[in-house]
Amino acid sequence: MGNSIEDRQNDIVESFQTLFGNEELLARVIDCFPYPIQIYAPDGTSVLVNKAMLTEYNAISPDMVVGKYNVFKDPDVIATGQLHALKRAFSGETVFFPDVRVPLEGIAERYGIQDFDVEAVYQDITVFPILDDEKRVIYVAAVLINRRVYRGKDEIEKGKEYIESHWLERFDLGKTAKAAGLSKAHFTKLFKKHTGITPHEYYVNYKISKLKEKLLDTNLTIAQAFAACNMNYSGHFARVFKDKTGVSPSAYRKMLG
Amino acid sequence: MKDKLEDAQRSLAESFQSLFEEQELFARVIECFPYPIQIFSLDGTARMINKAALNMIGIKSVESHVGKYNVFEDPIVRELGVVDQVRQVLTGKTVYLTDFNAPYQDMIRYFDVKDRDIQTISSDITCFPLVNADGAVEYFVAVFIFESFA
Repeated sequence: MGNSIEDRQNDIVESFQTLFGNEELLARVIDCFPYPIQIYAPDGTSVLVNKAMLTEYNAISPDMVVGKYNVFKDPDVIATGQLHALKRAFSGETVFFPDVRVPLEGIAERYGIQDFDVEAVYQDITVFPILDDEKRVIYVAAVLINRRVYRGKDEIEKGKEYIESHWLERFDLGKTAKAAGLSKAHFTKLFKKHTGITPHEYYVNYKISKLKEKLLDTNLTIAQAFAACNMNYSGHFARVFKDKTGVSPSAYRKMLG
Repeated sequence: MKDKLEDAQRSLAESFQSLFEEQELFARVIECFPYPIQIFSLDGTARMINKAALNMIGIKSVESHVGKYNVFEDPIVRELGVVDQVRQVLTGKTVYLTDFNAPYQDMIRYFDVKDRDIQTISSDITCFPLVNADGAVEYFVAVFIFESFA
């Protein structure tokens, strides 16, 4: 069995080598990768950033990052309290950080960026080890995938951001309007004018979209999928699901299965 | 601004070269990549597949897939009606496919994949081109983006 896994790994490495013959084209895969990638030495120092990373941060030069930035010394990373989890990747584990709010202000200050054209960005960050033949960690890579981007500095975006960050909780118009810096009445009116729906409808739609994602996970029962979204399968949201999608949750699952 | 960008790109290329010149690390990065990745030639034939993709799809061996599978002839991809969308990558664009749902029983029917108790493989897929120094597309890459690894 051990041999067959090793054979398979050798096949993969050979399939790379046969295809490309040189490293240049494989370098291009990383460089052209449409999501930011950063590679760190085992001590946390950045050794490589790809093009998408530079574009994300307004075309800063790699010289400003490579050899200078150290992820373990980044005050924004330290402030998240996730250093312990991050260190697991440097010990050989793949670590997933979902829905991380990008510290745009800290990045702007560090690299002298005048202004980002976005208000807020949330990323799923996957940090994984790069191992040598002896399974030792020689580098660690991070892939950053934008999940939510809020452009424009208006109140609607702030309201949407609040709803999408608190969708597991009960809808609270007061708190949502406060996050947007407006009164409840003014916020509701403005939100409907710009989006065509009320903040509550937006909240319900977002919750249903999350439930659809969970229903695709066949490791979960339908009731568990509802519970993962903080909803009761036998309650109000089961009816709302049918109203919104035209099918029951079980029919929806069958339809995709 | 253009000069600044060119300088950044040049210095980026140098940083790639200096790090990897004498090491076979790029293959290792992609091999260890937790997201499934496949590289295709322009006619749609699979040229490379990483470990995560083998595991996700349930492909039994690299040889049964690389050089044989063709994404443009895949009946599931055709049935989902996304062939034309994927072909857009040949024009140099990055293509984002959301909520790609492949019924696993169909995959068992059409391909030599493992018999597993899975209903659907669901993922977002991003296809991007690999262009040469002249700006021509030489290969394209498909990366499967999951919501989580849980």
